[in-house]
Amino acid sequence: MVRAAWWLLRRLGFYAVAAWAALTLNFVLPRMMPGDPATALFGRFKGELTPEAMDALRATFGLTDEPLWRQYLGYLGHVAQGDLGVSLAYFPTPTTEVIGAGMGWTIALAGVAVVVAFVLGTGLGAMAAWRRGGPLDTIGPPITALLSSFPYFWLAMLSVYVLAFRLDWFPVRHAYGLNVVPGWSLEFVGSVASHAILPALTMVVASTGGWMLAMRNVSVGTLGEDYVGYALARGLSSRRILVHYVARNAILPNLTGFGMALGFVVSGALLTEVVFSYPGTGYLLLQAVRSQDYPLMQGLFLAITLAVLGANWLADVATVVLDPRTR
Amino acid sequence: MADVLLTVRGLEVSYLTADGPVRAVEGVSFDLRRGEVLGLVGESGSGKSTLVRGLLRVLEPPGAITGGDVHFDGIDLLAASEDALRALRWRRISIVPQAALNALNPVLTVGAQIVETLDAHGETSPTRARARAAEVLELVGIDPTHLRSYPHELSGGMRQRVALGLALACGADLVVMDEPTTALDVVVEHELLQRVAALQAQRGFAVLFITHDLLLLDALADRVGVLYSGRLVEIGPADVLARGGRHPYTRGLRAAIPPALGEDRVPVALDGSSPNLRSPPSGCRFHPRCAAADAACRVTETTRRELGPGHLVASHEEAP
Repeated sequence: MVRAAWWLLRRLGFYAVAAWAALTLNFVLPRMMPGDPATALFGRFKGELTPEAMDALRATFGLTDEPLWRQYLGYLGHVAQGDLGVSLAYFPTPTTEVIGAGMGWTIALAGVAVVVAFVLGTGLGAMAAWRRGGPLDTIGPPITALLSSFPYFWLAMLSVYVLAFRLDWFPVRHAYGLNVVPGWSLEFVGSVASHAILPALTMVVASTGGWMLAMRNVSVGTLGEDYVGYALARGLSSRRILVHYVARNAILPNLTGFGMALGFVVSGALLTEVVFSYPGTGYLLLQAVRSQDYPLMQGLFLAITLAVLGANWLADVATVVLDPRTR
Repeated sequence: MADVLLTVRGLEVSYLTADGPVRAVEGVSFDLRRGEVLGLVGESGSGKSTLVRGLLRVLEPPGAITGGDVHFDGIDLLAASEDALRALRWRRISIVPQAALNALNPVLTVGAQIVETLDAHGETSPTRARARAAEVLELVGIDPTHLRSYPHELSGGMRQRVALGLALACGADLVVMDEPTTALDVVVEHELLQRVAALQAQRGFAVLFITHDLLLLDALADRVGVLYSGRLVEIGPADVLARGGRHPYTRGLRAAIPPALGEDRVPVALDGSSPNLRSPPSGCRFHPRCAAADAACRVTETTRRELGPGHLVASHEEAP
């Protein structure tokens, strides 16, 4: 137990170093790029701003003539306080606020979709392996291959066109109806759910197959282990063997992949959010690129990096909990 | 006979390959009485493990039973349904595996695996199951604190003892031991065998002991059967086989054992190796390696002859 705690702590240290490297890159890259956000914003106002305003903007974005190391320290200090600057596209809202709002939608939509796809795919994969050559094992992989060979944006656009636009079963865009007031009312929650179903469904349809195939293949190997045959000889029920012997062991190699997928939720939902005009971080990233909103881009990259690192660490914790050999 | 627990008649187990079935076990017949210890000895590839898996019906495809019949206490094992088999397994017939590390689930504690086994056989109270699991460990000389250990945290000898305890947990009438000491060093092996002998004497279960070590069976078994190339070439009382046995292969195995201190002989290894089962030799399968083989051995198959009470030999060789 103590060894496991140490190991997790060491991993945390490793992720901290990775996070610091990402932060530093985030600082260096914009300074190597031509132009700066203040000039961009200045340009937007088409000469309506005075040179004094330009200086004020430069100060706001931390673009001073101070030596680089002082700028760097100042930057680290601001990041530590959760200050990532001011968004240009949503000027003058602070970047963190913009990202925070988008993050909520993305995590609710894509986070749930990824978890559902993983649970569903893993369960189906274990069952397909258990009845090798059975109906599920025969039909599953071809359907999976078919669904995952569609480009995702095409699947998403097709479902918007057919299910939302033509058949009008689902709303076409946004996270909730324009006529409902946000709040913990039944009406609002229902509106959010009805708006989330279609995008979530397309994500689940597109990714369940991959989890199913991965789980099926590991499970087939696990079924050949001595302990499965021995469990059978001990007269344990099929259900118990499938869950505690096959699935429980076969899921371990898939946990890392799940951690990665969970981390990339923050950025990976880009296509979904663009197609469904869903106000999450993916949609924000597109907006940031379109309007050359550097602070927002930087903030989003940072958020994605931290999410991936955090999810990986959670996967490490899950591995330690589920596999006693790592303790 | 009322006291016969297991009857095996003409058992044939094959592996179904693309080039047709390969018979790994052929025409094997023997009886096992209640409370008796029967040892089956054979070299690698002689079909020992296939035989056991076949008669317990835990064979993995492409292995399949292609002939013969097996009765356990009046129940036709080869015709029994999966549900009937599950009811029989562990409560009546249990197994001590060759490598307990691979046979135990790495992500469950030893205690959880004993408890789930008891639970599968009618123990409904978790408290009683845990108490019995502790008894099971004490029975094989392991401190009950190890109920909370995972298999990889135990030594090889302890793991085999856990497997032995697990096999006895439901009071099985027949315990099949599939080379339970192969992975152990001689000291730990000796310890485990003594424990098996003591528990067997105390509880009176029957044992089918599979091994490649003929010497080990001298002290442990009541009767010994010798497998060669999927066939039972000799079976008889352990003391008769301890004195050398009659089949040339049994004698060859004896001669290959290094002499104990003070014995004046040189160990002689058998030439050649176990035949390829895809194209077994004609006639007696042992003839290419048999010193006493003649022309007839190459053509005609052997039949089993009874040489003494319960002592059967399949060889063309006349009594010396």
